Amino acid sequence: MRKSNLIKGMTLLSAVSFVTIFLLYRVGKFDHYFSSTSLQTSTNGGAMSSNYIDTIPKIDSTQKIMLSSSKSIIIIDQKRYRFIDTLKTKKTRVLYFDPTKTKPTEVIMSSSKSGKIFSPIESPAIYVPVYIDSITYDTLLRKFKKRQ
Amino acid sequence: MNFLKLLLATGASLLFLALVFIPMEKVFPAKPNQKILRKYWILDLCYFLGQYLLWSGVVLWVLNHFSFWLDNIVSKDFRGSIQKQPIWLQAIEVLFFSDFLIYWGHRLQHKVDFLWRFHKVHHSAEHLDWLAAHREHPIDSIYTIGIINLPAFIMGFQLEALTAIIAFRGVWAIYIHSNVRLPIGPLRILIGSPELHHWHHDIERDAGNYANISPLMDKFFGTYTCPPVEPENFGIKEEFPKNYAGQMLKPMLPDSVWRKFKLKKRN
Repeated sequence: MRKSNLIKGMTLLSAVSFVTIFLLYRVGKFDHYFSSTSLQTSTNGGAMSSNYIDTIPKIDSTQKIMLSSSKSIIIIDQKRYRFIDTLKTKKTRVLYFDPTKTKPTEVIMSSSKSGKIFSPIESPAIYVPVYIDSITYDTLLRKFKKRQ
Repeated sequence: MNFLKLLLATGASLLFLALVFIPMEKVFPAKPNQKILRKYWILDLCYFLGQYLLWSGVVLWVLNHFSFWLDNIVSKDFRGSIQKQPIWLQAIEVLFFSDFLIYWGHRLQHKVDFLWRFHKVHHSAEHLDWLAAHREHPIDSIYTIGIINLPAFIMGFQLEALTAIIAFRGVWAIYIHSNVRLPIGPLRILIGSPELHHWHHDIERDAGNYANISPLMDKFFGTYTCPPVEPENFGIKEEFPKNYAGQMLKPMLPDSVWRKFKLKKRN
């Protein structure tokens, strides 16, 4: 009887622990420890810092607004954004997300039957998660260098 | 997307669910004689793999396009006024309306023959467990997930704010299908439980308990049922294929075409 209760308690405890760890993982509490994983689903719909390979933290000045915003996106849909040319050139543009429009998302309420547990993050074309050179990555700095 | 990564994510999900649910089903079984590797477990594994490796991507693609289409219909003023509300109020509204809509959407699936064609794939499972939860036709997934997310799409609510709740609901949706009987007392009225959902899978097509997770809608609309024992038989009374390809195809084809196809196969 005592042994049976112990097994029941242990089973319940392990199930609750697994689910709790999973929930913490999904909300991004373990991002720091999973720097090389590709299983993380972003909690804000965008690429996560854990996907950046370059050790020097860097953000493209022209995309800073979007990356730091909760309205960041995964997929570019031309019709949904207005482009502002920051350097009065055709190539440098800043994307602003229209807050009244729904953004494409991987966070979706699952069906009443089952929920998806892990899904690999898609490499969004807009973010280019592999950075080779911190300086050349930044559009403004790159353009500045080019002019010099 | 790298297929290897997708495969890895699928394997990790399968391992996680097995680690959580197999011990639970062994220690707290609803049907003690049901084995882990019971009849048709391979069929349900095919559904699991199909969902992770193929259909969930298709469903997400369709629903993203549906939400873009809605963007052109819903007025900016309406969304603006919704988004002026505190985030917690928006979250409550989204959860309430999605529960309300899916309750009626689910009831319709059991009443309307066209919807039942696809939904009966899920009900064809004669053994309920965590793996059987994944038995779902992709058209049924689009319908169900579309309805659940409709309030968020209309309101322009970013579901990322509810990541933890959504992840919990996903795991709980699998749990209520599992072969577990673990009474949680009055809490089951709020978040549902296997003993309630197992009765929804009773062999009778209109057995009740249609609510998504919380049975409050069933209580309110008079479809709540919770006998103290497990249902004797799960599944459906109709004749239905017992293999993956058959279950995928039959709902899509007119009955006459399906009969001809079967006859040809027999000959």
